[in-house]
Amino acid sequence: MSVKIIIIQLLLAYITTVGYAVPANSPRKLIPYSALVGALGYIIFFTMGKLNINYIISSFISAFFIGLCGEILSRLLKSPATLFVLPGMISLVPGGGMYYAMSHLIEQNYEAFVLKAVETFLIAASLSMGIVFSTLFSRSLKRNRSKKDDRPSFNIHFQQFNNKKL
Amino acid sequence: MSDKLSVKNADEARDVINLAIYAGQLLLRNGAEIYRAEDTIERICSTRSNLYEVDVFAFPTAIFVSLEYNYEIITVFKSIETSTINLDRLNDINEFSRRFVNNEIPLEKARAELMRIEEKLTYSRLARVIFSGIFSGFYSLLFYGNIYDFIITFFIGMCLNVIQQFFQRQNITFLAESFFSALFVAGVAELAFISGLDVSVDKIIIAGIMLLVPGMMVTNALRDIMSGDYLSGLIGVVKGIFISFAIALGIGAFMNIHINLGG
Repeated sequence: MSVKIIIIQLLLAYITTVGYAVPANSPRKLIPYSALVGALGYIIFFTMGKLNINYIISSFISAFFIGLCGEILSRLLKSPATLFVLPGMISLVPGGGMYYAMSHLIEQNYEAFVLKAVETFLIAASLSMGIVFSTLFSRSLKRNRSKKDDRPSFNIHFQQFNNKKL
Repeated sequence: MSDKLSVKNADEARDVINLAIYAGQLLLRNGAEIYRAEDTIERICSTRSNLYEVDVFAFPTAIFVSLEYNYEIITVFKSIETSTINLDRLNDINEFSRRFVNNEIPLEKARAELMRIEEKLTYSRLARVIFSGIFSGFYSLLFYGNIYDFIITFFIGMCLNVIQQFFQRQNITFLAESFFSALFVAGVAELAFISGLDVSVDKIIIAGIMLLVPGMMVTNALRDIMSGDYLSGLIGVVKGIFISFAIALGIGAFMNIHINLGG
């Protein structure tokens, strides 16, 4: 595995992410960032694949990286993290796995079909796990419900109950 | 808390709740996560100091908002028709809601502002078609495709964007859209193979169906489940499974021919 291959893959992943971002109407000034996130995330996935690390682990780690970048960029650029995560993830989506699962199904090789289908689903699950873990400490998961202070309530009993509590 | 605005009468309360639900509807229609829509609606309603007990419940297909004003409960329900992905609108609505919460946009102008966002065209249709081709083409190169794979997937990507836009404008079910698109991808790959070009059918099909596969949808749905929106997550997973079946059917129809030809 040479550096040259990695640089070529980095460039290809960058252009691929741009190619997804434009049909998804990503704002023009944010496309370079999301494409960079996507390219780096793909390179992590690619390198780990070359080092014979399990696909499930490598997709978790690269999704975690992409999610983290999305969270950081969303703070810096004041845009939703989805704008970076959605295009960034596209080259990691296991489309190939889905295709091979289907082709095994058509060849009536059911054992290979089930293996491939389960693997594909697990990759999708670990991608989303990676994203969820990266947003664990951000606001997006903690649903901050508005503070329940003393307010006139519809139900008079409720009101008395609230007053007693305070 | 003290400098918060308050609504004067029930009509104004309804205006606020309608505005909030419009913003939520736009968010969900353009591919936002469930929690973002719920959060935005709640924030917009909570800008008025005498609207209490704001409760939001959102699905990919509907929104419910309920709040209390002057000892009276106002509940609004709104269904959401189709959903596409439009990241620019998400960004704009996010910006809008931040400005609205900071009282930089008066209530009278807010609806017009949202309508302006809804009608905004970020890229021309030609640009979207070409970049769709770029996506498929370079995706095939990522999988070590050769120059012929690149050219054919580039063509497929551009056509798929046109096909998808056609189906969305005609309001035809997403199953038909995925089926015919997959049929098209497999058909072009098969034609290229038969015509004797040095192509690999599987690379072309993988790069082609990347624009169709519900990977993003399933990933987001699983994420919804993990963050507590169980029902929305289930809807996404089920929709994803059905789309996969439609794609499998479309591809399978042509792959049978391919196997029978001895490919």
